[in-house]
Amino acid sequence: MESAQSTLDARLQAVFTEVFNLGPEAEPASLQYRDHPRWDSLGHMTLIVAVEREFEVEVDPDQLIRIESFDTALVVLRELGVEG
Amino acid sequence: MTPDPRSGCFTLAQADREAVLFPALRELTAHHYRHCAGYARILDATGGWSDSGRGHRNLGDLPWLPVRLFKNHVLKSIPDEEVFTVVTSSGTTGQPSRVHLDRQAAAAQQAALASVLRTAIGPRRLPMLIVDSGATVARAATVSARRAGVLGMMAYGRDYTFLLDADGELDRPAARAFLAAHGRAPFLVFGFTFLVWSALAAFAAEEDLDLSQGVLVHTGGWKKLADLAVDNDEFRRHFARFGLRRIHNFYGMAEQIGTVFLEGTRMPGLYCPDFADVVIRDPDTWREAAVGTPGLIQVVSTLPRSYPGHSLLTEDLGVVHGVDDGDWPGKRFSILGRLPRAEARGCSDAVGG
Amino acid sequence: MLLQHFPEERELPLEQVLAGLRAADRAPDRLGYGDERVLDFLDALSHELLRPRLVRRHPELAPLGFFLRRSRLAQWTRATDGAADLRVPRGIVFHIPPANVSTLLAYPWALSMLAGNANVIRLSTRGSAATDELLGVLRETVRQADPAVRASQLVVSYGHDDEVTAALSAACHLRLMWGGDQTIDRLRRFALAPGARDLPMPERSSLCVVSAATWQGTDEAGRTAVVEGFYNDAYWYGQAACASPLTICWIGPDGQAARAGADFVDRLEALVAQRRPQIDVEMAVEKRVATYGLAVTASARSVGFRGNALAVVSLSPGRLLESWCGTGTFGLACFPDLDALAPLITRRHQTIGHFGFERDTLLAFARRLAGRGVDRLVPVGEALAFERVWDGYDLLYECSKAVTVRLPTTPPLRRPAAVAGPTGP
Repeated sequence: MESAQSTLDARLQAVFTEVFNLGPEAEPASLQYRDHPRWDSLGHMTLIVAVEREFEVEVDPDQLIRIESFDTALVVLRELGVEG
Repeated sequence: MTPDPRSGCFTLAQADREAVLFPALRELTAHHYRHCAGYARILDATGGWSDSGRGHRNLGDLPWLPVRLFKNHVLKSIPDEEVFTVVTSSGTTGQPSRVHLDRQAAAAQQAALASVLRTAIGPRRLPMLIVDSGATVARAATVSARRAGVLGMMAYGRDYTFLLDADGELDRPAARAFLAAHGRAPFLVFGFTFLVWSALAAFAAEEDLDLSQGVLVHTGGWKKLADLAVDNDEFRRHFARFGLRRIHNFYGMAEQIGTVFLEGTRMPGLYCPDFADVVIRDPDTWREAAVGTPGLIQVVSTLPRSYPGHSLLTEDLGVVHGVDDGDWPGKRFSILGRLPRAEARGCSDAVGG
Repeated sequence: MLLQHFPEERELPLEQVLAGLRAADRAPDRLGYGDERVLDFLDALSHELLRPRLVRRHPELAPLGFFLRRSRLAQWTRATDGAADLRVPRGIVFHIPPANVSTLLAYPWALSMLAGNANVIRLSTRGSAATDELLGVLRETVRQADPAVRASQLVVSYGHDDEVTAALSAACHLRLMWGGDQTIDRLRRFALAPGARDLPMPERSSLCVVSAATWQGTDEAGRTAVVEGFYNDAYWYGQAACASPLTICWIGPDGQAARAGADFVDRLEALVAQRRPQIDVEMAVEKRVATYGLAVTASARSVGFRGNALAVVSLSPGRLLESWCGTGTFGLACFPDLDALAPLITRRHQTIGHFGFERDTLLAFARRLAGRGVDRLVPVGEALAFERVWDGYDLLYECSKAVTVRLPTTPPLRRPAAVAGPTGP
């Protein structure tokens, strides 16, 4: 059965949860760059590497900079042709 | 003039550049005058801003701040609740500079830096050999400028390999593996100038490395290398022997974050991106020095909107070699060195314990 | 290993420094208070320092030469203090002088020597040309001095070596230290012997006061003389000596004070253009940083640059310039009278250079301050003239001790024989 969330959304949530070591009660979709203590500049690079691996994409520097929240990450992934 | 698309943000000839920058910087001066009380008090006290800038005719007329003011004072043009991040400078002595950015300014500086680096590196992130230790970027309690520099640069690379191990020793196997995997297509090498020289230069010679596909980006100043009698020419000559010719030194400072002056590969010198410029000032008259005459470097940039850092007098000495005569249009300049700190020669300054 | 610069240049270990000082303190022929052998040496030194060739090269050494003239020094040590029957040396004195005001090293040393002490002076490793010159003259002169002088006086330098500072601190009976608050704090952590004491000379700042009315009534020659005196006070040590004026206070009704201040600054500018003090690029930048900073904090209403050698800061009401802002940076402030200035004076303030005030006015002002700052009120042009009393301390007395010598107090009528000499009880 298809969940209410898209697969892309769910996969990205899983990446966020793993990269930022989020607990079960956390909401990855509400995360903003620098608002979460682990999403600092190092965390950002870790996130990008994890996203690239998970979705088999290559994020260019402009896109990398534009990713500053869960939502903007979704936008960039769609630009890169990731469906779901 | 039609900009060469490969030139990225290095397209404006000097006259065109000034025509664009002057009104923008005048507007920024007015903006900071309105939004930063400390800045307004400086302009009022020094008479540097009369009649909302109507008395100012060109770029060299606009008021500047000594860059060290950001160490001693908080100067920002945004309310506290809009501060997104505070950038702090390195600096070996005393307090670091503090530069306040809102979300918009943080994004703008990153975009600007990206546009400059794209010119050097190209549009894609390249496999990256980092001439530093992985320990440098590990999360630490203290914010080091070196860590920030490496992390910032990592955004332009991928498949990272650190050339140094946790003890700062050369990690030969890692370096060999990196070159074996990525050495036949464009790759990025980044590091601080001194480390690049001390770690990579000797290693390249020992193993006769093929670095012909590399793009080396380095920064951090020449002081330590000057002690070893290594200058930029020697630096470039050495790496050219291993095929590494795409070498870009860059010059920038925390107080004007995002604004980076990039070294060209054919005509030597640093070049200004379209949104920035340098003015070399004669420290006696404070007027603009002629081409070829050394002076203090003033850096101007349209980036700083959240703090009054759009026109800064640095403590670096430099010289303009030529205008519109190099790899890219605009001024072509180099850094000659850092001013020593003025010493109080008084009785307040005792021998110490 | 320490580097010894006086009485001769050589390296020597710490143990030898300590042994030498203790031996000098206990020697049978040790120096006494007001010792002729010291007077001879200092007088010879005075002659050397006043030689025209040297004065031309290092004019800042000339005042030291005048200071060391035998007639005045001898007068000081002959006079007795009302409470003491006899003054004697303190013992071993450890001096930590300021790093770069070269001649300041010599004044307290000379006074301590005159008090008969064995002295060890820690010299900064960053010397100046004038310091080197002074040490050369000292080494030359001491060859002719009495061996007791040579054996008891030592100038050394060493790097940041806590062991040496600790040992010298423990060995001395008086420690004379100059420096910023941090330096003094750091030095205080090195313990002294129980009977020893510290004489700290912390960082101070100074100002000058000029009566606007007197200024307006002074002729050209008089004004020129004041401006020249002020120039020397301010520029001699790059304005960084504690006694160099930072603020010029004009005392008088608003309009008159402002006019007099403007005239003074114009004259100072002309003199600066003539004397051309050396202001390098970093100093010029330092002044921009400091004065722009004064504008940020609203301490300054306006900042005017007259070339790189002179910057004039109009201070906001209720402000004085409290710290060095680079050579040739002066605060300007106006007050209706001296009383209006008094609330701004703090313990940090050391010297007031004055022009146009009566002695009684100055005494009343000092009385009103009641020790809450300002130890010296001297004419403009004499701010840097070192005196026996410095920072409120009489150094000759601080460097010596009082001995009480009392005879039995018996009514003379009953014991006329007392004049014959000592007798038992």
